[in-house]
Amino acid sequence: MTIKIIASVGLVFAILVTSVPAMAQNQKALPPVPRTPDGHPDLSGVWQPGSDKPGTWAEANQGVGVAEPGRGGSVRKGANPPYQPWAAKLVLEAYNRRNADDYTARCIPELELGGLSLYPHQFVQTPNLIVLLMEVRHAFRLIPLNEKHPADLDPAWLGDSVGHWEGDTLVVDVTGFKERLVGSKINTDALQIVERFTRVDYNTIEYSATVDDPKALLHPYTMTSKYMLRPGTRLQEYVCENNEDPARFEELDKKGLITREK
Amino acid sequence: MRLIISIYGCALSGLHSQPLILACCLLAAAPLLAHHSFGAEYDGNKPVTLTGVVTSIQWTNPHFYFFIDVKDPNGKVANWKFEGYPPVVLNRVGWKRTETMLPGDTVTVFGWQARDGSNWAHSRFVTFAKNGNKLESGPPAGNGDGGNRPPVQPQ
Repeated sequence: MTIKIIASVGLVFAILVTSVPAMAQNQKALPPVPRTPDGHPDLSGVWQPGSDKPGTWAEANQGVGVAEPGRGGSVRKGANPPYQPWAAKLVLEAYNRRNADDYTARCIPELELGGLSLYPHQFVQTPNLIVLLMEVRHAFRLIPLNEKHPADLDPAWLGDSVGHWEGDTLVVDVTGFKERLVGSKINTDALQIVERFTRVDYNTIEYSATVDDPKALLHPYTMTSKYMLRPGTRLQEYVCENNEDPARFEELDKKGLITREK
Repeated sequence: MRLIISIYGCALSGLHSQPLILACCLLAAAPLLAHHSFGAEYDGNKPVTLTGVVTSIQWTNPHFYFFIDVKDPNGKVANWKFEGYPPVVLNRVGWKRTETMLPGDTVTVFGWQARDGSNWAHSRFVTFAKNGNKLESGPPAGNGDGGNRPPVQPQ
């Protein structure tokens, strides 16, 4: 018993002695936010959206319990979209169909707005263009700086992005979206999103997105999230190549097993 | 393989005939439904924990699959199919393609069964008998299932 108590006290002491300086050292050792030659914060690197834990991917996502896909854990915060009645009805219909017909089921890319933390993003920054590579569904975004949207925009799943710096914040205006009228998220071609990326310290980008769609929403709403730097992580190929038994899925549908009881 | 053939067939036959274009494109498009929501295929109210011997692993996108032989108390063996994360995610949560799960390994899998009650399930965790490691193999239940509360109320 005595030995156990001594061992416990010793352990607590050891943890205190080793962890306090380690924490202080970590904070002290954090390098400043890097800057490009033109003075802007440098966002270059591989980042994990929807996380607030520093470190490598393995350190920040240890063992079981990595963040849930599409939810970004508790790091991504924001109200549910304030849909107009017609749009809310469509979302409810999709819910009752268990989102079986969601665009995700066809692997169509979407702006994740700081979520989907299972998949890294890579920022490639140049003076006039920022490239955002997204592992999920093998997608990319081109964000030209200080340019206007083209006058003859073709609607696109990821829209058209243009950016500019407001102080140390990269502000990205996205418009020119294709309509999505089936699934868990509804938008019309009037969708406009303003994103803000601020590298607040070496490890962290604070993110916010203000979403407006006057044809589908009652009013704009804003969501916030974080991106964490993930040294050593490389983006890999992730495309929907698998054709695993589509007939089975249709079979379930025919049996009425997908539709939710209302 | 079937998808590749379908797309290839599309490109070849599309030069000659409209109906063939349609037929081929339908063939090519249908398999994409394999990337489904959790709720479309699996039932969050049917959790299963099974122990068995791995018979094969498919490192495919957008989801990986593995199969295990499970013996019931009477000695009857049934082959179960489990689905999980894509390989890119498995890599990052500690899986190594050439080491982690190999045919012949005994594993215990937790997940949720398919809606039709067949020997098919979504896997969440796999515990390996050979080293006691427990690894995440798929996302939590929820995507497309959405719990019991709709995301919106009709207004």
